[in-house]
Amino acid sequence: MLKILKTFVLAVLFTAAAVAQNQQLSGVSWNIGFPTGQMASYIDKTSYGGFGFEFNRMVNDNVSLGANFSWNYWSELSQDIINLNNGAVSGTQIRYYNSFVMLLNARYYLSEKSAEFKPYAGLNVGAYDILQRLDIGVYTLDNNHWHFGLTPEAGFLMEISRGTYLNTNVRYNYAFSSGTTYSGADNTMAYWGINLGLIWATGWF
Amino acid sequence: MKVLSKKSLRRLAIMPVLVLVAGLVIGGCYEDYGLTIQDYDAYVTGYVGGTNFSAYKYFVMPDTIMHIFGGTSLTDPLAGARIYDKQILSLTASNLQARGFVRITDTTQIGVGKPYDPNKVLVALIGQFSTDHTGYYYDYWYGYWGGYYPWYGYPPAYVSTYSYTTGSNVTELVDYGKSNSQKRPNPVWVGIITGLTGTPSTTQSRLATGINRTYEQSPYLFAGQ
Repeated sequence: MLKILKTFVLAVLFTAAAVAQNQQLSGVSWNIGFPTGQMASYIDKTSYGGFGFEFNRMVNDNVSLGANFSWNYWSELSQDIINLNNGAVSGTQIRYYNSFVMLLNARYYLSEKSAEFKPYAGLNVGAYDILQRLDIGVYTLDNNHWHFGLTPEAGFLMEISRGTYLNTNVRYNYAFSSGTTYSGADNTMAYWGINLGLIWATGWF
Repeated sequence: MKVLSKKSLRRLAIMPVLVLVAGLVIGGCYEDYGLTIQDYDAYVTGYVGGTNFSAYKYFVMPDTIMHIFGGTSLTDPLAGARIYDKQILSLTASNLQARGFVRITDTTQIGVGKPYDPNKVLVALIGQFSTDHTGYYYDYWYGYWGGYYPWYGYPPAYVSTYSYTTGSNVTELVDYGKSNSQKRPNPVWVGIITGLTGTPSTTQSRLATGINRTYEQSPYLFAGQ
């Protein structure tokens, strides 16, 4: 896995540096997150609090390489019993997740360079810093872990004015295990993301 | 008259969406759950791993609740809570009896060759803590309770400091036989109700809810035959 990551990182950095300065896309997005698996067992609620920034460069007519940074926030009021190995905790709780994401990105655009509608598929590799927090009673318990993450995506760009695109994509954010949750469970985290945003292109499309 | 192009119209249409998005992002970060005093009550239970609770059949319970308080004050800040003692003792006994434990009132009958085998007896000890200082709560009372505390093995990665006035009701079930033979308390279960000090009108119901919750979330706690 580390070998693949190193190859991917080097390929993105070298290739992006080699292309012309004016072939770039930058964007912002509103990120909606739907937790699944272990993550959903703690908070089973959609996150409407999230945003992202991205910077990409075209390396040919169909491929862009770049990086993106994003954040998603979940909180939920719960009365559930939290079972521990040798006990349990209950009471009114506010449960939180904050996910800070830094990914390298490669995209393949399926349409022609001049098309107004550009569907694409991509892969993101990088780091997730996921902070799990539990407020119960007058106590706050934090459990913060960095994860290696792999995130496939599919989406499209739609031109809304010259050089400005509506960007919509779906991502499956998968953060590999790097420890345990505060209750002792494996801390693999996964969530679906729907990201809606704008991209500004200079000197290319 | 200048007619807007198709792309300009699309750009205009996106503006309300952007405003909505910005509002949702900002609004989503600061959700107000409108918590009340009662919502700060927490119920914690723990047991010593490997304990076979069905090995116990009886329990004894002192008719006094121990008050533990720190600082330099010689005045018991929990003195006013004595009015709830009867309710707490009664609820604790009824919860244990509902789980099949038989109460022994005459402790002279416990022992080898006596009617009640000491290894089948639990002692229910109840204590109350009051704190009104700023600091690390668990560090504060850890030393008072024989070095045993329910989060043992699960130390929170971070416990925030606080500056509230809190109170806790702690029940420990102690193995009578082992404690006597080893000359030290051997707790096998603990149940804690902790929260902010509230108004007397709600304290009674909060205590009742809390005591019942600690037993409800301990489904393994049943007497053997």
